[in-house]
Amino acid sequence: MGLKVLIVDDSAAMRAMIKKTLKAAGFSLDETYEASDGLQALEILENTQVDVVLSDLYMPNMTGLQLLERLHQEGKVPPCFILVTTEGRKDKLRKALGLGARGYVIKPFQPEGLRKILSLLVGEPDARESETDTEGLDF
Amino acid sequence: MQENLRQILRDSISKVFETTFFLVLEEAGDLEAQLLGAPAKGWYQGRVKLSCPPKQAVVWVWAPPELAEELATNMLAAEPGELSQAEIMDAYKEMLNMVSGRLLTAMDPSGSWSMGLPEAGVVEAESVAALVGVVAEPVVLQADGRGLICGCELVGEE
Repeated sequence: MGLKVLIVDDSAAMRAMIKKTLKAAGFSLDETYEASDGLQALEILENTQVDVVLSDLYMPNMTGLQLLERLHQEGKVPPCFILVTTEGRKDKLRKALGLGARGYVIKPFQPEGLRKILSLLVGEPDARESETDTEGLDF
Repeated sequence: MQENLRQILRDSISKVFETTFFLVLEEAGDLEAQLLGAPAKGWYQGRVKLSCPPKQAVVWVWAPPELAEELATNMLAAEPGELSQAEIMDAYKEMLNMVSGRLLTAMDPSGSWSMGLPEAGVVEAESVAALVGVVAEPVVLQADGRGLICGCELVGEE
């Protein structure tokens, strides 16, 4: 059975690139949802249960951090919430991890970086190779 | 612009171009004078504001339309001429976003500075030199003979 993935990024080009990367890495996608900011993501998450959220941090209307804060307050952070962000400063990332994000991938990313972190968290497509060089995880 | 900051900017934009857009950037060399004197018809201009009150800075990137289109086609694995201007602009803004984020991560590991959202548009100017005049010491690069200019300027207090 495939994954239900929500991609949150204000750049349509980046959303398309992430989706393409997931498919190229061999992940079976059952449904892919897209949101251009945190508010749209909240609307989708109110009505839909997803396996994975891949979210940018800096977006208009509602940032990725504000989205996480809201979900955290309501106790509704999806089990696999991964940041895909230009933010590489540890203090900023630590805050997001403290709110329930499970890991992060720094843009610009190599497809392998995204594949590895997702493999570790959801077990596909091949978890055996995914124990090194993962960008950042929080268990 | 301090040489250290120029180098960080050069490294940041080179990494982003290689990783996401599959383009290698090089020093402009002899192309620089020719490039700066050329008209900037249809050039893409983008900026991202950085802030650490009361200080403020702006990251600028300028590119000719053919290079801006190539960024988008490479990122989306599209064919030349296939993408709309809105799609090209979206990819250009994402490039700005990645360059600025990488720059901030390198120059401000403690996280004191914050980053705004990318802004971009298509502009026309008498010359590229006039267009990039807002930056005291622009970094002039090329990708296979097509110019790319960037800079980071402290713009004073908010």
